Amino acid sequence: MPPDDSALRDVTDFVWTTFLRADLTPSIPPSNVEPGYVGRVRISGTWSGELTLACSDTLARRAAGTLFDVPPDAVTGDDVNDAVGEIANVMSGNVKALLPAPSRLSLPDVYAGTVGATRADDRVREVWFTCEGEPLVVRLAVESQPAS
Amino acid sequence: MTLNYVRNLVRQRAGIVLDEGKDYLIESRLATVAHEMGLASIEDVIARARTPANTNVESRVVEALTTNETTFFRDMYPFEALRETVIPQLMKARAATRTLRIWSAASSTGQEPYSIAMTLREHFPELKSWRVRILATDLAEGILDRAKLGRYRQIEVNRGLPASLLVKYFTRDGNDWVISPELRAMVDFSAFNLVTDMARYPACDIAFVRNVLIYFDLPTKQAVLRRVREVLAPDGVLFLGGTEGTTLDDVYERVVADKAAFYRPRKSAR
Amino acid sequence: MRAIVVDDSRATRSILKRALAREGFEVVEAGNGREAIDALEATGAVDLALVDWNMPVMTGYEFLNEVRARRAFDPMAIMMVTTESEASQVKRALDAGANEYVMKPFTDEVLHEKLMLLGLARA
Repeated sequence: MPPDDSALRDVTDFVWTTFLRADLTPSIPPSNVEPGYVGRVRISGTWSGELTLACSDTLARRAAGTLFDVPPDAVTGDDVNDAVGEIANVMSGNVKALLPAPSRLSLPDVYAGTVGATRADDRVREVWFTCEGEPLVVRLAVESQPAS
Repeated sequence: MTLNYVRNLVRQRAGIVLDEGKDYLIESRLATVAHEMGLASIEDVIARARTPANTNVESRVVEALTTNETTFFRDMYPFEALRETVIPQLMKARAATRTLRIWSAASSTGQEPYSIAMTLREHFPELKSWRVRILATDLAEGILDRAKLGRYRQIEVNRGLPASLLVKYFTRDGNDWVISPELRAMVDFSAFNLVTDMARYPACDIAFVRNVLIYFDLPTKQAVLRRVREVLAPDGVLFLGGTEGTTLDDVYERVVADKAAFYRPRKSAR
Repeated sequence: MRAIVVDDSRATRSILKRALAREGFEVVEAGNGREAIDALEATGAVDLALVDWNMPVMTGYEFLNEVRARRAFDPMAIMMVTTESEASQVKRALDAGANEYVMKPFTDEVLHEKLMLLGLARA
């Protein structure tokens, strides 16, 4: 059964707590839209769609800093792209476990985007967090799935 | 902030004394409960627990403070000693009765008794035709219910468990892994209080009393260990946690084998 | 002791390198299975390889099969470190000669305990 909001929250919390040793607090969309990094992984197979995570520049830098063990202001653009991509990849791997098999993950795609606007609709599950005050949103969008 | 309310609660419900030296334990465990309950501080948890209607919050606090974090094949070497030395010796000694009784006291979420079961199944298939009892006991019903399910999260099966045993004895379900029915059937779970149930300690050939004695003051710890000696077979073995000792040299003899230490009852009169 | 870390994510290579250095390993890196084979041919055999599954050019599974077939780098402990967590994938890797398997995300304790299982770290 495809993951509901609470399962998506659990996966996000699990990955960020384990990998980044950071605490996430569930939250609502912030009032402003701000620039940020977006990491995207396509999932294709019996279930098709994509997982994206979007976070503020500050949070992306902090995450990269943790993974590369350098201060956030010392990370390069490449470091941040790699870090956000790997986080999206690991999250997708864990989400894939909750989807009807078989399916494959694409390599992650990372680009400059925004975080703040809500995009939830029938086909998109969306969960919001703050991490040390910075916004993070994870979305799972379905394109096609087996009839239930 | 005084933690006396919590100390008294735990003493009342579990017979366990958490003195000032254990403040760090109380604070860190309650911080986890706060996080799980979505509360801002441990003071909030305590306030909730004190509210007369909230008996389930009280139970949760007691469980958080009396439950051990445990992993599969914790510390590794005791299970090697079980495999290389202890089981082979006991199988010879029990060849006539073909009965083996193992007690995992303070089994928490079940990784320890299931690790014992995996060791037996993997290395001693002959035991299938024996009467082997693995009795797993713990204080808290909630924890026992979890252990009975035999369902573990990815992070839990990643720890200490050889991948070959994971694929052999577990089935994946989402991001969880569930122990096989065959292995689950090898373990009996039962609620038990090491302090108040002293009259009922089970007779056994092997006792695992690991990482639970830290909760007790010295007199209680010694009483527990003396009582275990009484129910342990004369040629039986006691396993303690990695850094624990008995402080009872007159009652137990320490043996080192396969990089692990374990304890045999001394042959002198009780 | 020497190890090689094979993953197309620099971030994961960075984490694994640091963890292995703490355990006393000298570490070589590679971004895919082909680069890893080239590195082993150039710098010699290692005691341990930590290998991702999904990588461009040559996957971790292909690397595993290649290395075990060649035997030139034996004995080398190989541990998969990957998001692939299906039981069938774990079995495939073990049957192809992997010694251990870690599912991402992992913590330092997970790695340490796996190294203990491989006899490459003490308590």
